[in-house]
Amino acid sequence: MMTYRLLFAILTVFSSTALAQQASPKPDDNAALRYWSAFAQMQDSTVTPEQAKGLQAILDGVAPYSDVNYRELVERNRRAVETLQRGATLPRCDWGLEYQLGAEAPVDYVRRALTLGRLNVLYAYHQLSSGNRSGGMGTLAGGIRFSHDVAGGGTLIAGVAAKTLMVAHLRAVDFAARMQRLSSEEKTLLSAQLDQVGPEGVDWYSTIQREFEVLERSGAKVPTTLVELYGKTVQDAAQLPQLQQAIAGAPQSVASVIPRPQRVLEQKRELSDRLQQCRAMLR
Amino acid sequence: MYDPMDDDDQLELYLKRFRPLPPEPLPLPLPQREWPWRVFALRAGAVAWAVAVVVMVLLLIPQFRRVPAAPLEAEPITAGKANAMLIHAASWKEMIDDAGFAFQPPVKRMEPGRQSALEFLSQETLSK
Repeated sequence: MMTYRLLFAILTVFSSTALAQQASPKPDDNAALRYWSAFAQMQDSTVTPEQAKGLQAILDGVAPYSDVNYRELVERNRRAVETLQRGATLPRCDWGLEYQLGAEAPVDYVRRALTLGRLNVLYAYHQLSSGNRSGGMGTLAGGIRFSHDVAGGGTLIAGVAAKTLMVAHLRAVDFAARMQRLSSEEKTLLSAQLDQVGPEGVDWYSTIQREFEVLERSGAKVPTTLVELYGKTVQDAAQLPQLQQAIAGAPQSVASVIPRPQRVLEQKRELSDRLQQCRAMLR
Repeated sequence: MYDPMDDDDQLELYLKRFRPLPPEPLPLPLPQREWPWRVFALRAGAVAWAVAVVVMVLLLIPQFRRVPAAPLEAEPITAGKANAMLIHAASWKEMIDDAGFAFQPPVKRMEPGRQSALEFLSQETLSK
């Protein structure tokens, strides 16, 4: 009897260890680790005010990319962009943020992600302008995935940054399509990437939930009903008047820390419209 | 065989041929010349130019250039600060830049009239 018990105990320990190993994700599957490496690889260079204006116009999609002006910046950051691209092929992205710290949780990765993502857009333009069209389209596809990953597990600020980056990439796709008609391979590549990022590109519901989690950990007593209503409103804008009423009726200490839902909906709508246009173009 | 008389003959012969040279006049002290003011001005100008050239050359060499005060490191953005920015910003597009969200680049020294490309690319206002 004793032997059986011992055998059972050993088997239980082994099976639980094996299950734990199976359940815990492998670190080399985590795209965020590649992205952190890419942040460290970013190389700065100086630009004149005129070049800065030019960059803005390019990223806004209102001016063509000039390789003469930006080749140096782009080439200096080739390795960082390549690391981003390798990360974008990985199945999951966990930034490893310490939200248990509440308001003190560092989210500095968001601003670095903005920079890296924009460098990726410029790199794609550089490839397209130098005749490497397949490379350029691959860079844009990876950048769309990166943009999506920026919001993953993040608070609202990460969602806003992710939306900004995704819009910049979609503009570049539009530019490439106007330069030359998209081939069926290019359409397949981009469509597959857009399928992966979901219908809205950014999971606004999750970013809002995370925002409230941070507020709660920081001591804000936000009623559960209000959190739920905010979540519903992000998914269905028709709930907005009811949510606005609920926020107005909440104590000042609560209302003063809740981001305005109209703005979230505006961000969501802008990205959705852009994604819709791109998907229509790829059909 | 060595004959000491030969040496005496040669010495005598040499002494007979010796003719002293006429002495040169003694060098007199140079008269104190008064520099004309033009020469003085020219020399002062040349010295000033030389100093100016050396200073300019030194300024061109980075280690001699006066290093501008390094910008303060931006404080790390925390979830709480990000929330406050979202609440108070007049525009979400400008929010990140206004709140010092710009990436602090590793390059601290910027030439006058130039700016960090990475800092510029991290500005949220770009997406306008």
